[in-house]
Amino acid sequence: MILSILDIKRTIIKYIFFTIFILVFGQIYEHFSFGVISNYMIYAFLIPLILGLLINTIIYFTKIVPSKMGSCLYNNGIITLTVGSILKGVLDIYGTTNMYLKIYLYAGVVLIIAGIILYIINIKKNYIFKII
Amino acid sequence: MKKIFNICYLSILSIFTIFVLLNTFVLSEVYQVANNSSKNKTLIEPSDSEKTITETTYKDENVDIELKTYREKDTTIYVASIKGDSELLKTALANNSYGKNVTAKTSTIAEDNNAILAINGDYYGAQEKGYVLKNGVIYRNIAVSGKEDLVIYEDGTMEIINESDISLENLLEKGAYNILSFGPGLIINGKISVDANDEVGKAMASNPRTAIGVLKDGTIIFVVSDGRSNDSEGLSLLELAEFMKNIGCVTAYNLDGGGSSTMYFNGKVINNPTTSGRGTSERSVSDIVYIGY
Repeated sequence: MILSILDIKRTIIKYIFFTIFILVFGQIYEHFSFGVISNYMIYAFLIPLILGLLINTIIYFTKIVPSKMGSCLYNNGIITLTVGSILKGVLDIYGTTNMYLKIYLYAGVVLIIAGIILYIINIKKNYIFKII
Repeated sequence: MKKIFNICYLSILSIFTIFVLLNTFVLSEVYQVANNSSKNKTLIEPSDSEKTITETTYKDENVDIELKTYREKDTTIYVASIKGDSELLKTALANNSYGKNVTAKTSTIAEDNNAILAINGDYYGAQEKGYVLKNGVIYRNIAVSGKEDLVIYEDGTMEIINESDISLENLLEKGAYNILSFGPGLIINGKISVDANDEVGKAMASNPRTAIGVLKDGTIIFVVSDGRSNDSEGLSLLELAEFMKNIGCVTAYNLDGGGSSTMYFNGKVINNPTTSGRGTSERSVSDIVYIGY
């Protein structure tokens, strides 16, 4: 089952709001952090902006859409990395660390790679083979 | 299928995030109870007969403490000068225990240890790595690359070292008795070692600060500044370093600041500790540095 172009359009709109939310959240959190800076907090919005908004916009224009499951894994990967980045920012600003933060990175990367693999398989199945 | 996966995954992510937050800030775990009696070097006994205590001084036959208040950069700064036997300079852990999220207020730890003068320490509990050596006992021996520590030797001398450069075992051989691992070093070999750029990413703004230093003649200096309030703006790390240089410190080291910054003297808290700037409230910390018997 692959997504429609309309689904991609909806995903793009969702990412616009998600990116703005993360950007505003990061700025507000930094505003009340008494000058303690964390790049993980300030730049967390780049994750949904680049991996979500930008990539989905490219997909929208190329019209080579992913499968539903591939898209699901990929989007959950982006959410995981974004939450992990925000959490790392919170801990940085407080001045502490936690060994479990690595799990966000590992889980996020694995999900994104899985999503990309399914996307490539989907391209082979639904586009290249059809052309041949 | 997709919806079920999404719901399940986001539920797991939410629960895991709550767990990480609780693990970081709430759940406490004691790894080791401090046994100061076996390692504690102090054999000096206080002498009641010659003790003189005022609002700003403490004096007995072994130690002479003077508290001065300065006003600089729209900030009240409290400076305690300590002359006397270096054996009285010690550290103490909250609840006399080493662990994660084991905390107590500076004044509580000070009272538990009969401290005359105390400041908050390096808040070792907020970090998972970095040397932890308290009163001659090793609690954590994990070096952090590039981390500057203040080493207090048995004879009371202080040195700022880099954890990349020397092992904890070598420091113990050299006579290290306490290590404070927060940083950065403010004054090393008589020279200011921070600048405005060093502060970016740590705390570039003015904040309450705690620092420890030593003068050329061996006088130990505890410094705590107010901040985040209408009365006191607070200091940047560079301003703190400049202030300590001006009062004559040849070595100075930044300790945990912000809401943790607290100075306790003769049974009461001297400064105005605050986390939010709305009212005075002491934050619980992992450890203190103090003068006491």
